[in-house]
Amino acid sequence: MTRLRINGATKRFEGVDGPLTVFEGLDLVIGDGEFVTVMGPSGCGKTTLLNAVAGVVDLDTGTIEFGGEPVEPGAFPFGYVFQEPRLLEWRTAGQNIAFALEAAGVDASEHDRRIRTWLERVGLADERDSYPRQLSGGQRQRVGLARALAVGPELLLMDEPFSSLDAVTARNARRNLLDLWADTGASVFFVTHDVHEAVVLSDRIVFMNGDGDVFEAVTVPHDRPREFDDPALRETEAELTRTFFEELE
Amino acid sequence: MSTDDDRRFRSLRTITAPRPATVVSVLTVLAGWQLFSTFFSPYRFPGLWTLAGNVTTVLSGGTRFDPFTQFGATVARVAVGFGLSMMFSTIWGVAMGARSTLGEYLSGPLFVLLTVPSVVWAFVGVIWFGLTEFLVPVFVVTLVVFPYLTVVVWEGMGDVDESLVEMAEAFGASTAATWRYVYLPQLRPHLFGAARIGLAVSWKLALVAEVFGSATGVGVAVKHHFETFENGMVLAWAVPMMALIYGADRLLRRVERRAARWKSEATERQGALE
Repeated sequence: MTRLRINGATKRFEGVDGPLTVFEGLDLVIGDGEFVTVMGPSGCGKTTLLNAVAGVVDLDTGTIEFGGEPVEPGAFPFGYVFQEPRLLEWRTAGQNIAFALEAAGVDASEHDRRIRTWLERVGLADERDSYPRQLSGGQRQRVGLARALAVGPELLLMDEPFSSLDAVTARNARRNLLDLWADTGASVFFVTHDVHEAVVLSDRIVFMNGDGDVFEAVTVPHDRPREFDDPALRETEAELTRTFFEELE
Repeated sequence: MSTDDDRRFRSLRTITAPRPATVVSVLTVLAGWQLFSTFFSPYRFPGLWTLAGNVTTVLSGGTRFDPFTQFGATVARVAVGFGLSMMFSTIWGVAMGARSTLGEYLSGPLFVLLTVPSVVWAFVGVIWFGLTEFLVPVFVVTLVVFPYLTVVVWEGMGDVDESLVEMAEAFGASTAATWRYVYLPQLRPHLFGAARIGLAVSWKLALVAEVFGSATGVGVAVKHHFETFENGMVLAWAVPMMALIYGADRLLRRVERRAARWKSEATERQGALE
């Protein structure tokens, strides 16, 4: 079954030298429980596409379907993990999640349980009353993930969430994400410019070039659970890196 | 006493108890005053004892002006003028910051208001409303003070992290929730800054307005003593108001610190970890 379908999405911005086309007539499908990654160079419009799905940015043309029904952008249960944690510094980890729960219209009696559950699931059970400044970069990003999952999303939007973390922290975060994803059954729309990350995480990878055109889509031919250092995975990674850079050159 | 009462009592104490830095800074001002006064005749610049004597005279009703009526009138005008200024500047500043097109339209009138001299407002007030006890001073205070505060609030809106507003929007937060939890905490230091400036400037303007068109207030007493060459009494009437405004300012500062408690808590623990 299809969870998310983007049909003919076009987005233009008013640039200094006239209108700037970010992407035009873009189609994308994400299946139920599928982990799809959009790969592309910086500035290709990946983040704009995520924001358009979330309803934060308006599309010029194009429609979005969710669960087979046409919907307004953002009018379906989704969670968003940003590139930076985007936590409210003046609220504790628990209160940051409560903010999202309230925003999503989750009943107040449910808040405590959900906050406890999700902080525990991201390994931050003891940090509920900590302010973001008291947490490390990796911990903050995990609060961001807990916040996105706590609202009970059927689709998780993730915008290079691990790009600012060190290699070891990012690796653990990816492992944690795969476990949570397997448990929740949510579909994931992931964005990155890191081929290794795309290969270890995704079911399918969609490649965008600098003009915002999709030029390749591949299914990752590896079973789960995946061993991140599996030579077969490394080989796929090398192959896709070649495809990617040949197009960009 | 229950622990809840106890906690409330303690938090009230932390707001009102003097801090060492405050004590030292007040003592420095007093010592400087005393030192400075030794270079002048008591008529031009009275020493602390003379001044204290004069203030006592003022407060005990030893002059032709009743202290409660005069201070009461000035405090009431300052309070209302300051309150209106805060209200208008918050609305205007937020409106300018929230929509850039609105900001462009509203910045013209704002800068016109900023350039009108306070004396002109005082005369205009008297011409428009006549010699009124309340309306003219409040009119002057509000029209002079609120444009300054608007600039502070407007600047504050520029510091709001848009990515957090986007986050709130993505999670579907209502406009009210976004203002309360995202904008307001970021705007709070600027609002407190505006309040502190506003309070200090409001009372000065209230006095100017009183000198021009009023029969009561500290300004009237000051004007009388100036005209009768009682320099010591001119200062003596100002001192209690200065003390009052200073106290209000310290109180605001304390409340501000309490509102930003999360900052110090966060740093304290960070310090303990490092």
